[in-house]
Amino acid sequence: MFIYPIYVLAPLALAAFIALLSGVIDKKSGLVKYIALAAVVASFAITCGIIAQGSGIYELRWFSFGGIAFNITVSTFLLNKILLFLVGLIGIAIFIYSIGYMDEPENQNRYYFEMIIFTLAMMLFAISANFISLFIAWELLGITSYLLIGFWYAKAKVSEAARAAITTILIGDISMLAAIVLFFNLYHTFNFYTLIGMAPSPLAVFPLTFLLIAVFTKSAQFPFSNWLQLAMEGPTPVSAFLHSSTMVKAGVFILILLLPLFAQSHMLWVLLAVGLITAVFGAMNALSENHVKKILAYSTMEDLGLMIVALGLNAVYAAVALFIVQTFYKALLFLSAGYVMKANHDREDIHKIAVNSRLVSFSMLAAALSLAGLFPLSGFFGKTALGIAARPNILVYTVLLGIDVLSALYIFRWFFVLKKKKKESTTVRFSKLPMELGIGIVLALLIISSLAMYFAVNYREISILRINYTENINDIAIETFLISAGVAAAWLFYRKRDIKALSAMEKNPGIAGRILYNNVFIWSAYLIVAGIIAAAANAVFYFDRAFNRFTYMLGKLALLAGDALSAFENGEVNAYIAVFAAGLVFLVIFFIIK
Amino acid sequence: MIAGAYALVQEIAKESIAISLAAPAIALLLIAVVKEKFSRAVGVASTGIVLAVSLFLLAYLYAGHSIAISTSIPFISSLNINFEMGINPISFALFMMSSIVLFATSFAGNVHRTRQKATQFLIVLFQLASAGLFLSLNLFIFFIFWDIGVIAMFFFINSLGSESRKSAAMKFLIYEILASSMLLFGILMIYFYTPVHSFSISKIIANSGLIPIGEQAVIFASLFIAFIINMPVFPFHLWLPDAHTEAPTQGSMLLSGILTKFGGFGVILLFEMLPISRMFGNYIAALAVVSAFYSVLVLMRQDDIKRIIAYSTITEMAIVLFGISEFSNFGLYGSVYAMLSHGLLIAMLFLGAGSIEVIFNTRNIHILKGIVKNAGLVAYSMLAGIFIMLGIPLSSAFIADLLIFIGAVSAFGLAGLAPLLALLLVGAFLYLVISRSFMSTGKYTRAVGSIGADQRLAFCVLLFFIFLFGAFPFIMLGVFKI
Repeated sequence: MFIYPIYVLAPLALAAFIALLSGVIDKKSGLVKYIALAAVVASFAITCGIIAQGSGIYELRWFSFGGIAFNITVSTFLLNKILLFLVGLIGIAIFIYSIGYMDEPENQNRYYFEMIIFTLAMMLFAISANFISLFIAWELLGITSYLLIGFWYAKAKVSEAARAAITTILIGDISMLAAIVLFFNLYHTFNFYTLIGMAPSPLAVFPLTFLLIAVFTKSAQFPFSNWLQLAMEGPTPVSAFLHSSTMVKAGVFILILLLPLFAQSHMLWVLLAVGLITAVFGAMNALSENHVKKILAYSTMEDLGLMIVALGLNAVYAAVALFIVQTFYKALLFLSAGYVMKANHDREDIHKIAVNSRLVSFSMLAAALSLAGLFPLSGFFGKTALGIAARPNILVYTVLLGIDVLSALYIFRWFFVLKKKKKESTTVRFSKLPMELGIGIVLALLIISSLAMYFAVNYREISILRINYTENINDIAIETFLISAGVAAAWLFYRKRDIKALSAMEKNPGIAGRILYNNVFIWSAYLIVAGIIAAAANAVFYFDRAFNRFTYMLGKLALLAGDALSAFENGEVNAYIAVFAAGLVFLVIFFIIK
Repeated sequence: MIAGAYALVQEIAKESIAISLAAPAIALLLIAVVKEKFSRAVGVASTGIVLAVSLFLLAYLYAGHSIAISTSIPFISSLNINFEMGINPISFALFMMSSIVLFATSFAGNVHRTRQKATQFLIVLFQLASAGLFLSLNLFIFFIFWDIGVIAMFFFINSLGSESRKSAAMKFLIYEILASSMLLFGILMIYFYTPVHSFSISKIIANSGLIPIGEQAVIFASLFIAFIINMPVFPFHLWLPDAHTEAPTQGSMLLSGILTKFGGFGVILLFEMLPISRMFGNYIAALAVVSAFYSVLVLMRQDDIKRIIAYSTITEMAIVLFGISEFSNFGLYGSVYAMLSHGLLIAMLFLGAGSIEVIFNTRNIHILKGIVKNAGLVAYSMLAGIFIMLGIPLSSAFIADLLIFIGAVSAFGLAGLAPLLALLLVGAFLYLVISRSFMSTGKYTRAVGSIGADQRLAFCVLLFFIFLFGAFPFIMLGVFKI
């Protein structure tokens, strides 16, 4: 069958090929960045074409075996269109931003090649409708993200950070393969939409568990969350892309698609629990971290946790709302962070970075307000939708309110500390315009999305978010009050204080800081697992060596036996005759007795 | 004219077996007489011709032609032994793999071009062995070519290897002679206990039910041990790491790439021939899982890149054995695909290990740092190799894994997923190696040598075929016709 949505990948595939070729032919030509940008724009144009078309599901026979068709299936339903659109939009902004950011000519071909494949993988993921195409995209995402995180592999810590990412992702890949195989054996289909329509089976718990592990690794949920903050060693546009619309969203997206299966198997509580734990962990660590990008990474953990919580509450609309709004504010935060880092000699500590650009300051503020969830920015609608969905469950609701306060606190800590006047401010020369353009585009998108959310709520016929101002006024008031309190606390605590005192205080975090910065405990848990494996490896290794020695001894034994036997073959005819005679006598006796 | 071309195509297909055997046989004689510097050209020509024939056959079979290509020449008529050769889907997949690996081996792996004549002679001899073995339809012929392969490999290690090659070669020989004698014993048992007294595999399959159950068990045990020594599977694996450590790069490529597949192919034949094998399915699967985990855990303690890759061969072959023991089409053809994939992949990895040794003069992962800086292509090829080993989609390993594990879950339930955990451990460790030795934290091992364009070409050839069979699996699966 003719599967036109796959054409969205064509410009990217072509551009990747060109980037690879130009990497071989001419390493320093600067043309590749424009080719990459053109490819993303072309893909976005095709995306718009797909969105204008109706929705449908398209199959391409890949191969068949044993009467079973292994198809590459893509679909263009609303969710596919949303994700495809987000990837294209943010992709354009990020590729523009990269023109300014990636100013090392010798690495450009590698960078753009990997970025294009990454974008391609995400677009394929966005339209995939069965496990085969999903898995292709899933693994491509993992590999390219590994290469991108380890992009500056010569720098300290980078290759270890990339390894942490790929090892976690590997767990997810293997689990995903296990889930696919189990699903196939259970339902004999790879197609998501056929799968959802199937009668529930009690055995579905196993594939769903494997699927959850895969999702948790990709979407950085507890206990697979650590790679996300380590991944901050990668280039900032990569972080911005990875955390906003791609990669980490892949896990949540597949959960949104397959949520009915989890509901049928009564596994939503797992989502709820893991999501809450991750969100709390993320918010706590974000408050105590000093690395400008790692704070944002922890905040992504929190965002993803909240989406999983929304799914655990079976509130798909809230999850989708969070999914959409998070894209814009997180991309904007990361792009701003990359800009200020570049302007400050690539410093990473928020206490040592000065913000001089007005556009960037404004973007940071807008994004921070949106993240905290204040009206009328888009984050408000996501958080409110989640809050309303959680309202019946008082425990979850309380925890969510606590997370709201914490997130307001940490993001304004980030903002206020960055905005403080720092004594040293040497200027760094870099090409600002493309980066500012990229930031400007995402800022505009943030504002447009806020407006869109506003209308989506206010016009009742498209009130998809199920927010009703009059009915839910109490919830909205409580939430807004708490968030404002968080912002105010951040103002009092961080804005008022002198930078030196603050820096000194945060160097010695004390007991409270240690509880907040609990990421190290997860790390030690990893080390315990690694230690157990290493101990097993040691044991088996020594066994193997002993086994090897044992076989040598068998060989030696054979030689010794040969030596011993050779004593009989001494050439003395008398001895031979004596043995022969003894044998004869023995035989005669034997026959007589018998 | 079109009719003429069609007739030609038919003719070539008919003679493909003869060409595949004649090319190395003639090349052997040629290498013996030509000067040292021409021997390489002869080797490349011989393997190239057979690669061309196998690609032609691939296209011919994919186009839907009948696979019934076979010949039978009386060999020792009084004992009912015929020189029977033929192509079936499984043997064709392995033949295809072996011709690609042999082609790459014939021109790459020997950077300094030392002892060309001996090397090429052994490569071509091994080519003869593998073509004869994979295409044989007769156990007697199978046994002859098996031993030719073993002897070629013995000399490869014994005369072309590194310092302590003698003991490694002897160890290899002892294990392989044990395997050979078990094989001969099993074959003779089959010959005497089948009523038709034939070595012909098709006749044995038709009559093997008539062998008494006790004798079947004995035959099964002896042949199975012979084949798993060769694969190798725990507890008969000890020869492989030592042989690889001492073998030259080309020897390693052929050893893990093709020689270990002799055993895999043998196990497939054995399970086809003896109905009793089905009784042991679960035990064999358990042995395979043990072997996989054992090799992974030992692998984690190795320093030498070649030993690491050698142990990963044991893991992969354990997964192959696991697939075969499922007794289903998914498992069987998944395993064949896994052998096809693994042969190409492991040849590339050993070529990479050899290149690293040439460039940096060491293979120790604790000494090597930042390979990617001075040997970019090698480092990225090895990285791609690791991804392939872990089964990324669009590589042939993915198709193999998918088929094997779909079969495994229907055969063994959840336990069928156990080898995936071994694969996970391999991956975790290999990523550690990549992170410490290939990428780096600012330190770089100094390059003392370089590899030529022919080596680079070999990487590209092997990767090309891995992704060809991965991205277009319907070609090979079309040949299988399942």
